[in-house]
Amino acid sequence: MTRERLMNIVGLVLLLGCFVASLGRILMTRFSSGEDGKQIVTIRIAHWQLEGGIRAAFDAIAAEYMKIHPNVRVVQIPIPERIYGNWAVTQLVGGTAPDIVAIGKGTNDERLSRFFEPLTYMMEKPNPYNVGTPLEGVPLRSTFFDGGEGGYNPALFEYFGIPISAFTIRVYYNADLLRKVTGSGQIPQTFEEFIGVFDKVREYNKKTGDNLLPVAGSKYNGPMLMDRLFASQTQKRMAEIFPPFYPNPTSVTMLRAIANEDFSMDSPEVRSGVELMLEIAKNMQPGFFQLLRDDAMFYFVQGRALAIASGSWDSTSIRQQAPFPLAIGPIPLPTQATPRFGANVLGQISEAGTNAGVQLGLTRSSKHPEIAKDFLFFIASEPMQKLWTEVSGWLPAVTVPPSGDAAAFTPIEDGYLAGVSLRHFGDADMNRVLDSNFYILTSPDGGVDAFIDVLRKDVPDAMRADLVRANRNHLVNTRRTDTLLGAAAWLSLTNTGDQDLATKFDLIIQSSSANDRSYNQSSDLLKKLKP
Amino acid sequence: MSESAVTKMPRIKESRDGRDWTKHLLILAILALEFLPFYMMLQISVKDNQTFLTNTWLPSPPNTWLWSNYAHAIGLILPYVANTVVVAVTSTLAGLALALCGAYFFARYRMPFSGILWSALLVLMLLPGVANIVPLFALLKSFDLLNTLWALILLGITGAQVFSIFVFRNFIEEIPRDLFEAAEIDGASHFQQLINVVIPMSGPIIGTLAILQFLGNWNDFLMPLIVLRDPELFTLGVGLIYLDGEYIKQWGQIMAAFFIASVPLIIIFLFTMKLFVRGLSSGALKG
Amino acid sequence: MALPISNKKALLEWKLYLFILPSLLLVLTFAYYPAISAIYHSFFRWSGGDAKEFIGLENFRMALSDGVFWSSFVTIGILVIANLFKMIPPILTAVLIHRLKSDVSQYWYRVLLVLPMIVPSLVTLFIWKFFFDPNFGILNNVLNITGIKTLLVHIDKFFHWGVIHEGVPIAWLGEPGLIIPSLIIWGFPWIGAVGVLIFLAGLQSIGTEVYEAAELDGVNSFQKFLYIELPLIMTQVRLNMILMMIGTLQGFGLQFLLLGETGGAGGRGMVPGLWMFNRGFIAGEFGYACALGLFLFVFILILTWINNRYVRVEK
Repeated sequence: MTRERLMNIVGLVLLLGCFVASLGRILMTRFSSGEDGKQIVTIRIAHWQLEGGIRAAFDAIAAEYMKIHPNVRVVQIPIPERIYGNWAVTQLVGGTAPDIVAIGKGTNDERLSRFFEPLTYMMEKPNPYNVGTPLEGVPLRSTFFDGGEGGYNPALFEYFGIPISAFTIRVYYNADLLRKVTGSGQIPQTFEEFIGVFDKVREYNKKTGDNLLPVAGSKYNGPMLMDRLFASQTQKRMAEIFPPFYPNPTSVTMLRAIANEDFSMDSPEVRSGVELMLEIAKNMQPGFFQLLRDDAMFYFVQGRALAIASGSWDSTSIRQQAPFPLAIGPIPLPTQATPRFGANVLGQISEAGTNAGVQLGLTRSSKHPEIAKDFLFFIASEPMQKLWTEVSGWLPAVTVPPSGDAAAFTPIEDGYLAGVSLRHFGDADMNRVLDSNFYILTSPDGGVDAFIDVLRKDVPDAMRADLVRANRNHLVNTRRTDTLLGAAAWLSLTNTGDQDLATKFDLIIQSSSANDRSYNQSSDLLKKLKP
Repeated sequence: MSESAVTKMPRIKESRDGRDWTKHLLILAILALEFLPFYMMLQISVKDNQTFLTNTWLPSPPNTWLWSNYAHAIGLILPYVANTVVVAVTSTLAGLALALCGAYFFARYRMPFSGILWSALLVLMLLPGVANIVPLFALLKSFDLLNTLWALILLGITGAQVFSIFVFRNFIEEIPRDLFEAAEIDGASHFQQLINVVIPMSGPIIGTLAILQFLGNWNDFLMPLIVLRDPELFTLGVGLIYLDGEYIKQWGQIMAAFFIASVPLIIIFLFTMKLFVRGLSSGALKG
Repeated sequence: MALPISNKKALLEWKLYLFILPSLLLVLTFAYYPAISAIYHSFFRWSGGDAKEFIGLENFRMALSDGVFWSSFVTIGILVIANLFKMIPPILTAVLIHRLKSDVSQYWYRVLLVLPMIVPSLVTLFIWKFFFDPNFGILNNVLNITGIKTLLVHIDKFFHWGVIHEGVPIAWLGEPGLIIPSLIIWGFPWIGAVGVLIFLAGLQSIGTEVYEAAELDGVNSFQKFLYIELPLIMTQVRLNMILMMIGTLQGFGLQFLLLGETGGAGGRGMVPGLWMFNRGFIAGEFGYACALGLFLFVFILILTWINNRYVRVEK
């Protein structure tokens, strides 16, 4: 046997070996997960939270569940955020979606109504797993700190998601660097102190020849700071234009304001907001807007930046990666006393309106909806939410005090209503205008005036495009309730006396009229706007 | 064309001797650049992020090599590699078998309708498959094949048919007719003729096509991305996207995972190198 | 050539049809049917399920006014031209290897060429993505060390591009203006083993007499390339060119993996295939995606036909 033939045979045998091993593995997992004598049921949960600590938290809760229900296996399917959108669409349309799917990415109104089960009846019932806790007997809805509002879809008039966490935005400081730079290691409490700390970083750099960055920025982290600060500038104006307790501003709301000439790109609020944005942007890396979330995180974790703004969702990841202790504080906003920026401000923005996040929805293609629903009750129960916040370091959705690490992120309720940031003026197209023109603000031959010029030119068209899209959505939503209306009307004609039906009929009429109203409003606005 | 046609032309001793050195240098420089990704992959796979930052280019000393990166990486990527091996091997073997049969049909006799069928196949070669993805998805759904590896295997087999049949047909037509006739006289059925006459002669061609198809399957990520739901079924393409989606990446582990993803290919190449080079150079694919 | 056969004998040999049957079935189901279904569905508003609404030519009208779609053609046009240029290095390498005197080194170079194929192209792609990383990536590293970075900063200031700044790592994939250059640079030095080997095979058939004659006429190396070698590998070049064009025009895997489903920052990396994928699998407008696919198909068909007619081989 020649050497060559021997080598060929060895190669083939190796390959065959790999093949057989892999095949065996697949067959084994298939058969143990499916229909085996003891009827093991598998519930799958899909989400995109790949941040540190979360998968462990899900596993911990799943393990607890499996202790109580030994014939149920709970498996999580974490999918990277980048492909979650199209993965979700493909799975939903293809009918192979897992039992529980986190909603928010890739799920719009239409997909929710087609592929997800409404969970309103769940929200009305008390959580069976809350027996023996202070929340016993309380309807599920009221056990959440936001009353379940996060999972509620106003266009469809149903709850679709059970939330299990909540998010706030904070500034993370490198505690070691903070002490080096300020001497006292105190987190800046006011806006002046905030800017002051950055100046101290520059002094520190000059003194020691180091090259520290005050704030690590990126396309993802930069706007968190800038938008929040911008919103402080529009607070007063918004309170003047709209009645108190106006709902979360949408693109239609803002467009109405612009059409009524209450707002424009030339308003002093917009101007001071943009100036404030520039003030902060100066403290980030040049060209930060092109960098990605990972890049900014890398700067911070490597100790090259003093601070980074991010959501509470990053806290465990940062803690796991950073070799230094962290100090966490809210984004200090200008007060009325602040020179230059105080004129348009009402005060610190309250986070009382924070909605719960990580909404888990139940798909219609689930083969074991009852068990899935039971698991949803389980994960939203008081003891499990406690476990959640301990293991993941994230806030709980239920009114349970967050544990140690998560405590710094508890929503700060004191404060005033938020203003709007530039992004609230529209949706996708507005974002595009902002993103592609941002460099003008920070470039040396650009600046505030140049940026506002571009805004003045491009924003009306962008808002118009977004409005057209919103208009189409309203139309589609209204049309969808037409069928329901017809069915309910027919049923009510043939089934008088059914109280439940009458309530539903009312709700459908309300929803349909609300959609209709929105549609009419946006159509009117479109006509009013210059083409 | 069998490889015997590629006889090496005797070279004239050109009068410019020194010229060859520049050629060698150029080729070596180009090859060095080609090998750069491979080299980087290897040397990063044993470092951690910090070491890599301070020492980007050169390999770190052997006593600091982090073998734990590989341990981690195996956990990360082995399931995906296993799945991909199954899909790639199955679809390559089945695909080649079917293509051989199909090519035999075309090459042996000009049966009625074979002209039409042949054009039908050729058209497919020019058909950009890009518009097919959407209806393909709906088709798989109606066959209930979504979220299975079978879907990938079937698609892999189909994808290879046209090109393989084309190449095989050219090859089989070159085989001397008498061999077939002799086998027929001995009473061999068509199938036996295929096995006893065609296959022994077509070693390099089969080898080359097998490698090309295996590679194609190994690198495919689009259909798996659309079709698969369960992470335990993910093939390599999706698995790598998954790794890329982690928020803070440990580059050493990821590079180690890349290396492990290349191992089956290394095995194949080591043992079939000659076949492949011979096959490609033999001009059978001269089109 | 295949033997012609009389119809009578063909009946006897009916079993041969069984040989083609499985392939035919597979191809009909998984290649032809989807193509026809794509044409059919492009006239509907379809979200992938069972419900569809016939809207006639509406999808096509929308496609004609779809700015993103048409600007993606511009992008893909640039990439095709770039890829045409990228065909030159394999040809040159093949010629270089071919002209070597020693057969042994020819063989070894062939082997060495094939070796990088060990790394699956997917992995190479991710490694390149890593190269592009602003912080870890070696591209920025090289530019900084060799001082090319400062040169680029000056050129940038001169042309007012605003994409390359002093002191900040170049964001190859994050900066809209740099996305197309990144896609072009990718894969340096652009030698594909398969391509080189095929060209080499073609070059083998050049007889030594031709070289001898050229020698007598006092032809230099560059002229040898232009007049002897290039014409004789034209068939391969043409085949490669067609395959490359079809592949580039419909390809979007590279852009999807490097940039994400929206074509990266500012959508500059959007190519027609990616937009089709986006509309279908992310926005859920499957009918519209089919219509877009049809446009793309027709475009590719026209280009291939032009290529076939005008790029001819002279002997």
